[in-house]
Order: sequence, then structure tokens, then C-alpha cells
Amino acid sequence: MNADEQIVEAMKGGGNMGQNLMVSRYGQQVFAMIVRQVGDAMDAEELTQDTFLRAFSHIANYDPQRSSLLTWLSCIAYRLTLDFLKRRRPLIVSIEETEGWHTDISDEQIEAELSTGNEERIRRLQMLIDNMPPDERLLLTLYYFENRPLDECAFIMGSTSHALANRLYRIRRKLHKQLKKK
Amino acid sequence: MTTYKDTDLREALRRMYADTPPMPEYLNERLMQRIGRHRRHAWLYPAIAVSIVIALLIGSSLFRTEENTNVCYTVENGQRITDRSIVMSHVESTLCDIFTTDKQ
Repeated sequence: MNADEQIVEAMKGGGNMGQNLMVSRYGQQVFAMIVRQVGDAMDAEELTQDTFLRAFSHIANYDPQRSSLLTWLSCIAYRLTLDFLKRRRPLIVSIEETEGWHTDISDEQIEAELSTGNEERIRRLQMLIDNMPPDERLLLTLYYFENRPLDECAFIMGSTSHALANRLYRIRRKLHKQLKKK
Repeated sequence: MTTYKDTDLREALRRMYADTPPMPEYLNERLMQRIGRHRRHAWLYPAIAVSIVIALLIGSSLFRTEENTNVCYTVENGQRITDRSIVMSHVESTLCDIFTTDKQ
């Protein structure tokens, strides 16, 4: 029996043991994921608590065949965080979405542009990421910072791997264009 | 799917999240307190539902009683006599008939 199964079994047995196990094992990762998006530790604490409360009350819905417990918790955290961010500030419509679909720049060109090692570019990228809509920013965080595979990102964000691959391409292309602007 | 290197992007994210604060120690404790609060208030909603059902039952029975309250009256020696009694609707007509017959 792996760690996730132990936690789920302990929770089904009732009592607080399973809940304590879940928080001590995944609390830090869930909190970190949330605080990176909301920026404020107090808000992140509340959202982390909400995430676990929801997980405790919906543990019967967890399917170990579909995802790990951490991915499932991340999915809950993602939805709560996105709702919170939408309430806090109106959702920014991505510039890319208004432009339509173009494949005028190749993956290689974008990759070259985003892999220069230039200090000024890195600083500009930080600013650009900071001003991105929350869902785009989260995708970049999951994919580049947490190194999660695209199918796991898709599960968390309630999308498909194919749709996210397209999305990722559009975000990278947008960053490429903005970096080109002087 | 190809994993993109995009080293500048990775570095930008690494710097942005370098000072991510750790989860506070007290968070688990607070969470357990919130669970406790949820459990303490768990009886509240069923209690409210039961109260509403009881109130509806009482209300509907009172309404039915009001419907079945019959006011029969007749005039005896120029004085109006009112007989307010609770009767079933089919009994009501019978009583009225009796009064009418007496009057005649």
C-alpha cells in the first residue's frame, strides 16, 4: 500500500489521523502552489485550509487510478485560487486570445528567444509573467517551475493535454513578441 | 510532447518564487479547529429543517381547522344567536338544516 492509499484508508476509517497525515504530507506543496499565485501569505493560508476542508469532505470522489493525491489536491487548490483571483480583480483577457490563431513562428525560434541567458531579458520576463492572467501564469508555474508533465497540468486545470500544448505555444509566442518589442 | 528548455523563462520563474514562504506551523492546528467547528454546527441544519417541517404541519392543521369552523346562526325572538362550532363540512350542512327547520 503506497502513502496515498494509506492516507485515504485512514480517512475512511474516520477520526483525524488521515486528515493530519494528508496535511503533514502535502500541506507545504499545496500552500506553496497557492502562495505563488495569490502573492499574499494570509490569503494563501485561508485558501490552503479551504482546499483541505474540501478534500476531506469529498474524499469519496478521489480516484487513485486517475491521479495522485497531490495532483487531485492541486486541482482543488487551482479552482479555489482562480475563483479567489477572479473575485479580487477582474479577469484579464489574454491579448493572445484576441489575436486569433497563428503559427507564424516556429517552436525553435521561440525557444531560442527564450533561452538567451541575458540578464535583462530574464528581468523583463519576470515583469511579463507578473502581469499575466492567473491561469496562464499557473500553467507556466506548473510546467516550468514545478516540472509537472502536461497531462498532470491538464488534470489540475480541467483541460486536455492537447489544449494545454496549444495554450503553452500561444503564451510562449506572446512572450517572444513582447521581448522583441523595444 | 517535447519539453521546452526555455531557460530564461525557467530562470525568471525560479527568481520570482525563490522566496516562497513556508507553510506556517499552526496551519494544521487551525484546520483541525475549523473541522471541529464544522462538526459542532453539524446538528444545526437538520434541526432547522425539522423545525420548518413542524411549523408547516402546525400551520396546515390550523388552516384546516379554520376552514372547518362553521358559523350557524338563527334569529330567535329578534335576537341573533350565533353557534360557532368546529364541525366537519358534511355535518355543517346538516346543522344548518336543523336550524332552518326549527325556525320554520
